[in-house]
Amino acid sequence: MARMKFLCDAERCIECNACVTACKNEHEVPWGVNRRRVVTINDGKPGERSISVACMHCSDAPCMAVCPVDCFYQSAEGVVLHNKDLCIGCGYCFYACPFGAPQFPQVGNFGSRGKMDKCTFCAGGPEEANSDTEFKKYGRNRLAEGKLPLCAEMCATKALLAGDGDQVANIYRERVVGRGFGSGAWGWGKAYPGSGS
Amino acid sequence: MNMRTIRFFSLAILLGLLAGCQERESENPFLKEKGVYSGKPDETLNDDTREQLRRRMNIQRGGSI
Amino acid sequence: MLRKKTGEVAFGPRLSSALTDLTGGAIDRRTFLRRSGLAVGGLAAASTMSSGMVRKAEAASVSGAVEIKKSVCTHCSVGCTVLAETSNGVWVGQEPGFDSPFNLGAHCAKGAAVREHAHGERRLKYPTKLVDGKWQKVSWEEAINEIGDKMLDIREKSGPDSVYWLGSAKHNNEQAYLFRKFYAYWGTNNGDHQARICHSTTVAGVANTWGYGAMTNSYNDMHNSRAIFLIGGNPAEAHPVSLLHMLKAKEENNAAFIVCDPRFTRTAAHATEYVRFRSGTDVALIWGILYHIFENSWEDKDFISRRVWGMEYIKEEVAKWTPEEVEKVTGVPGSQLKRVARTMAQNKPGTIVWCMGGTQHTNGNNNTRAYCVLQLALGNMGVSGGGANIFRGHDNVQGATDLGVLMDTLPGYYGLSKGAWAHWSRVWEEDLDWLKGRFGTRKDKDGKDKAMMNEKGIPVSRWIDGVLEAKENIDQPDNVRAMVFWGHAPNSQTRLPDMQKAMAKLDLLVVVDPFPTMSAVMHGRKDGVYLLPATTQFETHGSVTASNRSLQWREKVMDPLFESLPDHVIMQMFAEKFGFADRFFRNIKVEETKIGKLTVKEPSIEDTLREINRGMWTIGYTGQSPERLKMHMANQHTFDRTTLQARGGPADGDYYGLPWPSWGTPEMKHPGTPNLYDNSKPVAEGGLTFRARFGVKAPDEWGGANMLAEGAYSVDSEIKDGYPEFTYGMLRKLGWDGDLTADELAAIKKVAGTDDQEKLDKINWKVDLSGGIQRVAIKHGCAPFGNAKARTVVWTFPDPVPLHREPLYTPRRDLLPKYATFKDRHMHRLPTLYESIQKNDFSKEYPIILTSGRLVEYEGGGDETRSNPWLAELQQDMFVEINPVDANDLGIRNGDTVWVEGPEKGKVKVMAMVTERVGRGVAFMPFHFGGHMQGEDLRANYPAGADPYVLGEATNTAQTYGYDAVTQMQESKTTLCKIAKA
Ligand code: SF4
Ligand code: SF4
Ligand code: SF4
Repeated sequence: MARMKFLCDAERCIECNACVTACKNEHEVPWGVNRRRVVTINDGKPGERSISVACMHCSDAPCMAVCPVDCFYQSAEGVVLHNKDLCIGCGYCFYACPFGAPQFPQVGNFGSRGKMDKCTFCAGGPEEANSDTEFKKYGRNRLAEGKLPLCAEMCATKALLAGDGDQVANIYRERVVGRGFGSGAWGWGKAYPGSGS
Repeated sequence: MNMRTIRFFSLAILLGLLAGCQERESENPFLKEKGVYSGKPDETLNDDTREQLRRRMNIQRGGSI
Repeated sequence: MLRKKTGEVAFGPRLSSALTDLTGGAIDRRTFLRRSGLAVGGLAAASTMSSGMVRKAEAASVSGAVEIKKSVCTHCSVGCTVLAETSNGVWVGQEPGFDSPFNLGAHCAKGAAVREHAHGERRLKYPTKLVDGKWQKVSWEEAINEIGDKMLDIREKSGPDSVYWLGSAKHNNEQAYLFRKFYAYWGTNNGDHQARICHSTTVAGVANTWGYGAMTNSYNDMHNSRAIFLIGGNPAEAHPVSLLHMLKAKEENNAAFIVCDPRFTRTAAHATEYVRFRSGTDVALIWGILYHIFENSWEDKDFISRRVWGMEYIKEEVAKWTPEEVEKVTGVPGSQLKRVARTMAQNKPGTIVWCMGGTQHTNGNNNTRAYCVLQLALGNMGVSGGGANIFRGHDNVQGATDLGVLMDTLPGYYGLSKGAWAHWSRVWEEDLDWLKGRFGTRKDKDGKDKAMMNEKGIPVSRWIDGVLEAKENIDQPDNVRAMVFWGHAPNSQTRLPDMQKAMAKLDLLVVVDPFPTMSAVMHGRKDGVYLLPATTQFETHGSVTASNRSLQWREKVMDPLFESLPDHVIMQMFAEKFGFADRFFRNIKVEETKIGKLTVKEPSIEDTLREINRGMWTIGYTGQSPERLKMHMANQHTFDRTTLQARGGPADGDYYGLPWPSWGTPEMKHPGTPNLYDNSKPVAEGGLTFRARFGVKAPDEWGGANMLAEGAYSVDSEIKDGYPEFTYGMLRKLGWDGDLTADELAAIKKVAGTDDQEKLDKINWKVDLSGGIQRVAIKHGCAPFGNAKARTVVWTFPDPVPLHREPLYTPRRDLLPKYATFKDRHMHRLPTLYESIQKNDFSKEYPIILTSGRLVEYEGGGDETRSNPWLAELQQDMFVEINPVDANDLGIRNGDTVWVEGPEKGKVKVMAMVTERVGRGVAFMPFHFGGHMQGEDLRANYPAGADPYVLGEATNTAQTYGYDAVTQMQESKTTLCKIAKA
């Protein structure tokens, strides 16, 4: 199986934020932590486009490279995960990440998820799949249940695609051919260099 | 408080601290190699689950939509 | 845009560089920092969550048996399926409902967050009353008794019309129906719901054009469109999942996607053509498009000659709307409208979509009729991919409208005539005289007694005037003295400062709702307020009607939280208190059950639907039995996602959710009607003609021509031409009466109450309780309601041919008096002002047009959604959008706090969002905020722990007077304001 990837089709995204609340819902992400966000460019003007952004699970992940305690690891499916027991919350990964994915709940905040929290591609963390501990630290592990990320599965317009990178690319290509245009697989060059997009 | 007592207590504290450094006592690894993840290993997905994920991906195409 | 969320804070500088990949341009960053006050309110509130009802944390990882319950999202009319995972009765997860043909698993922010209902942290938790300015917990029994006694006292002294029953589009069909029936049994027509201020002008305008006042096709059917013309709607925020269907047409059919709106909405961002026009000039805009269509002979002449009456009157009016005149009034250049006209003419079928931007105007009914005329001229009606796709708002506003939770009709649009009451009392097996006795009477001008039973009530938009207006000016025995808000937010209605006065003047204010709503905090009273906790729809079951007229069945996901009770149970309690419970539920089983610690009597939802089925012949809510609806929900995957028709399986041939009309009895197995007026199918298979509702001949002053269709009829029709609606007499004339079974004939005779042939002949398809007349008509391929032409001129309306009329608060004095508004009128029991407002010039002091609309995260008055932390976090501040030019002229910068004041002096203190989304001279505010009033934070007034996370000013505090001349729709889309730095 090829690695897991996200793709947000900016021609379709309507900034409805379903992906954001689906994530909150699935993992009980506390107020103030946003594993996924929707960003809008040219807001209110012709050419306005939105893209839903989270951790892209880069093939050569910058966060991994800079982490002083090496708390990151990549699963066999290419999902970039981190171990909250090792993480010291230093924030280097935040500066390294081109997508601003790592989230740092304010110190002393309630319901925090530990030092750093980020999108797990709905794959939990290094605890027993869907155990209580895993859920409390990392949220639900959908991949282990044979389900894909909820943000993509609930996307209002199927703009957000998540899954096997080849399949994602195929679906997107079919669409672009069908409609004759596309603004490109946004972020792919950065997250997955050499992926052909 | 004389010098002896102070030394005794410092030693006791030091010993206590050292004891906490044993790997099995702490969540963190004791020795670490730069660039290598040394935390708990994660489980891998089995082939069935992978196949399930592949099939599920088609739903995002939008079915007949 | 909507003030957002995206702080640089969270994403750091690098994202902006990543984003440049997309455009090569800079990002328009919204630097709205959260105001500490609000953030603190929200956060402090959020922090309490850990202690309360957050059950997922414990339960989510439970590997024990997880049960899936199928429900339907309660936030809009798309009707997205919600799959709820429950474990030991706790709602622990939500999965995408991939099988649903409506949403294919998709949701918007609201639907993806409905599981928060399981926490219900900010809900109203128990019955509460206001004593000496303090909230006090009371028992249900106490509350019902005290409220009931007070109401009975008011009834005694002032008559039943002094209690106003405001219902809700949040009720399921069964509850909505029981609510409508309830205020009939109480003895008043003073009842209404959100539809009045949402699509009432659509229902009136559209039904008077071709028969029914609903969306004609479906979201799914738009897959077939080659052009989509959207006006006054922003579905990307209001009906997000509809974009799934529209974008498919745009991408796969290369469909033109034309968006007309004063504001460059999120939907407009995806348009192929965006038309910015001045708010409130819809008729001028449409006539401006038709001008080019007629001039170039692009109209569908064949369609018009066979299926449309009165187009020549329209042509006469349209001829006046030259491109120059249109540009002068609307601001849109003629060349653009010519391009739009050509696009629409060359890309057929095309559909038109409109929402509140078109309906909420003093001439809203003119707008909706003009839209219909455009579609009729193009021949886009009654075809797949065409139609008038009117998106309804709330999840069940279509159902609640159909079930008559209105002040002018009984369920099924039967009206309030003697015949209508006779029909429904037959359905209810009620003694008509007893019912009559429940109602009051009033002396009319000649001193004669008039039965209030047949008089239209006060519309919700005007209830405040029912309280404040001098008694002698109101056509009912006394003022409104008690107000019941049963699932309705107050801040969705205009003139909030006046409402505040009205609330203070009432004897009794009752709120029945899962949330306290702004009603609980704005009244300024010390006593006489009761809050009763109702459940959400996830704590009960029943059917709900989506915008496309399909009915879906909701399963109960979890037991009622706290001390809340389902609405129908609360109605039962009141019915018992008022002493009519036995008659009321005579055909509905009422069972004793335990809900939480309470023992209550719950009326059967299924029996209620069966009673609905027995009475709603007019619009074919008769075939949708609970059994059929449940079967559809269980077999969602068998329905085609474009045609909505089941292919194989137990529902084979049916259309999903049996979109009404599903004619005849459930046993007749009519599949439902996917697209109204589509005569390319037999009626038995979902085909239809235009309804013969306006007589067979036009009135003489309108030419007296034939109103029946000519040479157009549905497939397999045995009458190959137009025909009037079916009666028993007509069956006899056609020699089809022999097809009636003995039972059917006996039922018809029972309705007539006689064997007298003449009386018997008059029994029609709407009142025949056996459904026999419908069955026989359909057997011969005919539509029970006849086969007529659609009419473009509604001779019973103030403007028979739709005319442009300037808003009451117009900024364009130069267009008066040519396009002046109506004369003042007296309607719906109240004086209604038009010209006496318009004649004053407010445009100097209030130079900016003020309009309002929706945000995707919130819904309606917003109490429910602002109480959901997953949504509330995304929109924390009320704001006003101002064009950069105006902002600079006024010295206002992005993020400043400003006062927005309307010409009636209501003002709101909000944050300025400087954006080109609005044009010069236009300001926009979302209408979901509440809890602040003219600068004052009312958070302390909520019952403890029931304040929404996010509060804000309600735009309707600044919004002004103005009501549609037919339906009393409020004018909330065009008024004036001035803006100043606070
Ligand atoms: S993949 Fe899962 S964790 Fe990541 S943003 Fe989507 S829902 Fe959240
Ligand atoms: S759910 Fe889909 S359409 Fe909505 S904001 Fe997210 S990516 Fe965009
Ligand atoms: S609000 Fe409407 S579009 Fe959003 S999930 Fe609910 S039903 Fe679907």
